[in-house]
Amino acid sequence: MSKLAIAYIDLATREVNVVPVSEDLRRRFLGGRGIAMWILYKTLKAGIPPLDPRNLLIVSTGLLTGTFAIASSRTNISGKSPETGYLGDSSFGGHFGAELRHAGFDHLVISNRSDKPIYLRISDGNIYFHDAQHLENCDTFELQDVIRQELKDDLVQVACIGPAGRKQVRFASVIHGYGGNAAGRTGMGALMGSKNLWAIAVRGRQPLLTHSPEKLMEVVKKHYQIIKSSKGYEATATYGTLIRLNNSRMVGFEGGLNHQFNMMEKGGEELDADYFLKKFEVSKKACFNCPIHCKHVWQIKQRGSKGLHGIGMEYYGAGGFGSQCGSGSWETILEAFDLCNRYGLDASSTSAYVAWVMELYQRGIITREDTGGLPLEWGSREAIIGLIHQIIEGRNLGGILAEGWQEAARKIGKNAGRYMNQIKNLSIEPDDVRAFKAKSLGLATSTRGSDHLRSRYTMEEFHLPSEVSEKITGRPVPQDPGAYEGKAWAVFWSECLCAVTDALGICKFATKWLSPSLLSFAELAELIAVSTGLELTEQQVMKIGERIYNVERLFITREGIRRKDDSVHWRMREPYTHGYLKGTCIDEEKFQKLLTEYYRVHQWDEEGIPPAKTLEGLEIE
Amino acid sequence: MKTIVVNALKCTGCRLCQMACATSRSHRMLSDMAHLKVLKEDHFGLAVPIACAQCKIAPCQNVCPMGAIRRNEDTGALGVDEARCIGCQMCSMVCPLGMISYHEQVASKCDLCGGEPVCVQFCATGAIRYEDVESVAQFKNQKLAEEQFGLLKKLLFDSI
Repeated sequence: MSKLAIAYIDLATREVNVVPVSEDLRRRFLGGRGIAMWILYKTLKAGIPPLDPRNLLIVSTGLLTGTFAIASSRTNISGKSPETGYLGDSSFGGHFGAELRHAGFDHLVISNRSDKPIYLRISDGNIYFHDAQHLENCDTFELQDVIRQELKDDLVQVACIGPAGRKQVRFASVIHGYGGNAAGRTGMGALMGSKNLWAIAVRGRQPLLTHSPEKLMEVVKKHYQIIKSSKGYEATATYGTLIRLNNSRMVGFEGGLNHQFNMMEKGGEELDADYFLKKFEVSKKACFNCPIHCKHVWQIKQRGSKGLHGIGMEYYGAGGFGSQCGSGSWETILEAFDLCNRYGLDASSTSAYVAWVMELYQRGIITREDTGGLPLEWGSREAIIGLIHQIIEGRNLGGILAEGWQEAARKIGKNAGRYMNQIKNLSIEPDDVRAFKAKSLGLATSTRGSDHLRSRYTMEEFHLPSEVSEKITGRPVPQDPGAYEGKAWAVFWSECLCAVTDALGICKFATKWLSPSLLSFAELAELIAVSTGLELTEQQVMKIGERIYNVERLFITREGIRRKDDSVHWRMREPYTHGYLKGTCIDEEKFQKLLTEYYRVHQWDEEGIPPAKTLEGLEIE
Repeated sequence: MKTIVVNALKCTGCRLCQMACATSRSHRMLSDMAHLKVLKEDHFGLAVPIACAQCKIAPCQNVCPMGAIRRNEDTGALGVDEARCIGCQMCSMVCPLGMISYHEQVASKCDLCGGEPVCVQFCATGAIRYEDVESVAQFKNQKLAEEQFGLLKKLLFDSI
């Protein structure tokens, strides 16, 4: 197993301190999100404003990122969130993480602020500081081009911010590549911007070594076959995340017009994955070492001109700018998605903010006077694209939105904040999961704010018989998605799986997070053993996930999160308006009982704070 | 004789083939160390795999002053006898595809893993396959002919 290092980088003094990752840290947290969360919790003091130089920006690769393990592409970016004020953490795939590990680093812990704009170049064990002032007019794509030209190497992988991050728009993202990869959520781009760090360019030529190469070959071959022969593979490899458009429309949990409805009232027939493939897809693209190739290369074909083209297009952007903003036009969605990537805006939050102010406009809470004359009619291309430009140019309504929804709601007044669909200050995803009780609980309790990548129990949608779910998760989970009982365990199990995959740097698309026939704790334990020599049981691996989740919980409860914040948005307590699940909602009394049960499964107190005894059992000091 | 057949239209640029090659052969996990190369154009999401063609008239074999490059008669692959190689790099200079690299001062090239190329086993899309080139040619002939058959039927037999 290669010995890699944590680089502590002080941007103010330009000092770099490289220390190896200790055996104890590896054993307890593996790497990636696990070690990042531990460093963040131990280093950051409570109450520090997110854009203060004392906040940390941590770039982490997983324990297996850049190795032969299937789908080992992930990189996490973490810190205190400028968007929510609580925990910030977001990850991307692509080829950056592998390159960083091959350059000799597991984690970059970046502190303080540079007095002038810089970018970091990391090459085979060395870290260099480069002036970045000349990049001030570049969008994220142009910026990557310039850096590659400057370094005369097309194999350099770049993670960067664009105009949004430089202006510290609260929901700015970190972009890697040309449209396919973004650490979008929780405003990590704004944090990077606040440090005057505009990009990180990496190139590594050092091979990674493994504990047992022959066994690793065997294990990876087995995992490859498991993934390739799984039912979910064909769907994911064909549609990517866009499959969710079809699922949500079929079952009727497509959020419409800022979650006022669970189905778009009219239009939207084109918002279908098959339609997208037929009309816009050119080819497929994959992240590092991944056979699933879920990313689309797309083009808006226009007679006589080249037309807009790009990479990516995920469900979040499609549902967000689509049904949530009332648009049934792929041309509008793709244009908005492309702009978000080039500007370095989180497509998820941006679409949620646009949908929010469109509802405010519908209700008369804001008028054309507030929008600089822009009519915010549902589905209007001019409104969607116009608002994105306003956000970047810092003018009119967009200028206010750039400060984050809390500040915008305060400035707009008239109870505007009520219509922002959020949990712990992070916008809710475009699909509307109030019919699914484990998923709803997952959104309510997720440590980074409303989120499906911290815990989603996807299998709830498959109506698995209890005996099957017991085989998979260790305890029976009711077949009925609407049941409350047993769902606390389902969420707990999923939280542990998500935390472990993030700590390993493996994509969740390769795991049971997505589909019952994919990888789980047993297979991950195998991978850890042949890669590092660390022999762990399934239960021990799951425990690591629980440990990571508890550290995150400690972080957010230290910042003031309590039981009242582990709540669904009020809209989820209102009935579904359409479809065969019409009338379904979250029953508050039952939900509170479920939340109590969830705390009990976690062994947390009645406010959701992990007590000393629980922490002792998890070896958290 | 089978060889590695490349279809760049299907390549997703994941580098799994390269990681499989490097890991299985050298136990070192780095795509740069793979015998198979995958070159990429990131703006358009393009990727082109390049594999050793195991040339029938092989410049590498012909130029080697030590006779260190030899053909395996069963697989047709050209392999390097490391004990004989002196690291003069002449094979690399003459290879028209640039498929010979150097590890620890000796030449290193694809030997088709003795007839079971591991890279192909990990290609999810069929961008690289291990096939008889002649059968690939026949397959292409057949496909072209089938299109023509359709046209001919329409021309000659109105009712069908």
